[in-house]
Amino acid sequence: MTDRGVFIRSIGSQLATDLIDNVAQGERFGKDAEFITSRIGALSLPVRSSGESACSLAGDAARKALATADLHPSEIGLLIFVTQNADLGGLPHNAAILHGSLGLPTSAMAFDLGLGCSGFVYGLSVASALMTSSGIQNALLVTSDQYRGNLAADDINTNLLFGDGACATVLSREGDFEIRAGKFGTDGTGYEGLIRNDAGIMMNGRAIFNFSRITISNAIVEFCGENGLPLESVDEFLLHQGSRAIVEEIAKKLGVDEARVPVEIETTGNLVSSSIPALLERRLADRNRTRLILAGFGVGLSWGTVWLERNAT
Amino acid sequence: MSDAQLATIRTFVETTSSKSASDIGPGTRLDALPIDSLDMYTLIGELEDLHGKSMPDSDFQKMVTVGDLITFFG
Repeated sequence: MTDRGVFIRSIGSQLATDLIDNVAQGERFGKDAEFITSRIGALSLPVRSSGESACSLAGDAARKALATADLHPSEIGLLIFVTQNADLGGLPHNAAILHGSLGLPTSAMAFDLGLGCSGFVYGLSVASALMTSSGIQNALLVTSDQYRGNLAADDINTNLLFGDGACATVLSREGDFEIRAGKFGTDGTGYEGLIRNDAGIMMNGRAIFNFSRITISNAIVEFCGENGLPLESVDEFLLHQGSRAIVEEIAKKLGVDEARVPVEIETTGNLVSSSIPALLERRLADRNRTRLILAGFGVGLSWGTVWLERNAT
Repeated sequence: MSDAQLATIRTFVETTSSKSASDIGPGTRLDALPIDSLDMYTLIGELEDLHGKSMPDSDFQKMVTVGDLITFFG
């Protein structure tokens, strides 16, 4: 077993192939183009086609990530599949299906992690801990959710936001960013704020907005303070891309220049657990970014903050 | 207290919309304010922070005018 840390080595992504014009959809809900552009931020939303599934999108993303990392599937010792879209109802779990389709070794650990928008940061921490304790050299952390097929038809709070997609992150003992620390939280008293009921997935917009605005900004400040990280020392805060409005509101609460809190949601919408790795994918090769703070938050209510530091070697 | 709350609401609206809020009074309908639904969440959140009092969803649904907000947080 090596005493080296755990690093993000590569990321692959795969958006669903069909598209929804979100401006046109906004008109149906009585929202004009200005609201869609400046508050939601997503002008189009990818939506799963009939031939696509959580596992198929995840598989496409994983193959890209493995190719970029120049790794063979046989070298993967751990697969974590973050999802709330179990293709076969959860029995078997998506990780088993993907394990088989990718041809991972039978020695690999594989399981699902049933979280939504906090899932990627939770997954990083779980994977890192398992790799360290079990001497695993390479892991795949897959995020794949397709909420659109389960939305309540008349719920404006979800229909204008969510897009379907998947990301796959290769974690290794070498890579671009080291996972330094994480801190997590849950407030189960708010579980009804985002829920799937008989009508489909519905969101209490005010409850989720306030949770994100207050709890997440406080969590980031607390986490950075505990780890001796002045906010000004962080190159970028990569927040879950819930909507343009919520990311900008958290940036305002943090008192951080919006340029360091990117919003990149125009063609993706809210990709649930894949929104943060989609941001990160575009930053792995940019060596001007040394220190990143990731913050995921959503259904549960659940949240997590993780510190990534550029590998100096 | 209501004057302070009205001032808070006017300041929020002016800051958010860059429009004059001097004519906003207790009788002004919330849906007539030049702010959108997400801004309204933030405004009520700031009033909650200011007064240390949460507004349940059941009360939120009943808010029609600025005066309703002032009364709730008064």
